[in-house]
Amino acid sequence: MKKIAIVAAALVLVGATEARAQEWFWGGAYSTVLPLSNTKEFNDGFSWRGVMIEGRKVLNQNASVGVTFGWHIMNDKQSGTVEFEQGAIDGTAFTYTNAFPVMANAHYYLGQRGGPRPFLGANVGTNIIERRAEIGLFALTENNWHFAVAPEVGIVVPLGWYVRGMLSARWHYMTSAGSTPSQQYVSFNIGIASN
Amino acid sequence: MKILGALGVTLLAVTACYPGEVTSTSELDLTITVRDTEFDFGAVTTFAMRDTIVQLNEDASDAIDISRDFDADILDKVRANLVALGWTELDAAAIAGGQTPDVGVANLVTASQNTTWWVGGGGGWCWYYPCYPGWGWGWPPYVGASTYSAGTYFLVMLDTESGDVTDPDADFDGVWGAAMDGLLSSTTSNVTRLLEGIDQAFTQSPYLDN
Repeated sequence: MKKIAIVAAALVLVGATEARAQEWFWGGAYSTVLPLSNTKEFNDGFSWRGVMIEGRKVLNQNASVGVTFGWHIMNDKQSGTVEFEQGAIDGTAFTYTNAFPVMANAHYYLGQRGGPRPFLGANVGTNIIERRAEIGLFALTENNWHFAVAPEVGIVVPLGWYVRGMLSARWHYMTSAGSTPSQQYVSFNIGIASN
Repeated sequence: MKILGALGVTLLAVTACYPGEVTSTSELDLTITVRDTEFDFGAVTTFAMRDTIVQLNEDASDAIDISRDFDADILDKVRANLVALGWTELDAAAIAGGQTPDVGVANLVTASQNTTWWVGGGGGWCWYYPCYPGWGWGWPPYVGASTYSAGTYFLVMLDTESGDVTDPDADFDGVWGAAMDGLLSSTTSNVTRLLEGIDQAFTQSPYLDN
């Protein structure tokens, strides 16, 4: 995981040093979220709620660097009995995860300018995660800033005058922080961008 | 940028409904059981239980006067579960005659009115949490209060060998306890949910039936 982070950071730095006066384009996307691993254990099930805002500065025909902000929401509701050595608790638990990724990004584009352009991306930064569990009349909330990396694949399609459609899948990995273990989820993003 | 603005509004509209909300009072019910892991429940064959449900917070300022119309139903439910374990109840006459039950069972309850103060925004827009009063965004902010009634019913099982049963002031060790906790609504609903909770307490304590 550290290797991915280093590569991502290097991409961003190299891109920045080679940056020439080029255009920025900004986009917004609707995100759906598939929780994995510890995140899935806390909030099982596909989530249809999330948004993403992104800015990319074009460096040359094939590369860009920029920033990404997002809000990904997962929730779950589970009823049942949890047993432990001294006893058991029966009830309905409501769990919520709110993830706010704030990351730098770098992308490399395939294909030709003016046509559909598949791309590979790397995002590195932080993901501010709030986890909340409610059971009965009690609630427990924890907030932590996690170191985060998020490799990405996608495609940008020109839609017409200064507008591009974007489709991407991004695997988010967050290291453990506080008492929250490492987190993972995949976001599927569909949106548009313009300059 | 107008396109992005329109996109943002659309995205918010698409995602602004809220999931996972509490849909019934019973979803806030909890049944918690704890036990003394060193106590041999398999050796228990007899029990005693007073026909009284004691309200622990009766004199507190936030206490709620609870209906006593269903005490018999509640005690019968507890008794039925104990008998279903194969245990025999010793009544007052048997105890006065010199018999000592293996365990004593106490029925206790608390019921209170609670107030929560909050500061909220005017929007009342619930993005991802259940729509608790005052949760939302907006301007100007405002302050309010929510009140709710909550109750907890306790079943406590005492080891009669840990104290002197002839001493009315004696203390005994608790070996099993159950707490049924939840929001209070109508009396009928409260009793129905409590009776289900009592059954659940015994269901999730299979070690009692050895």
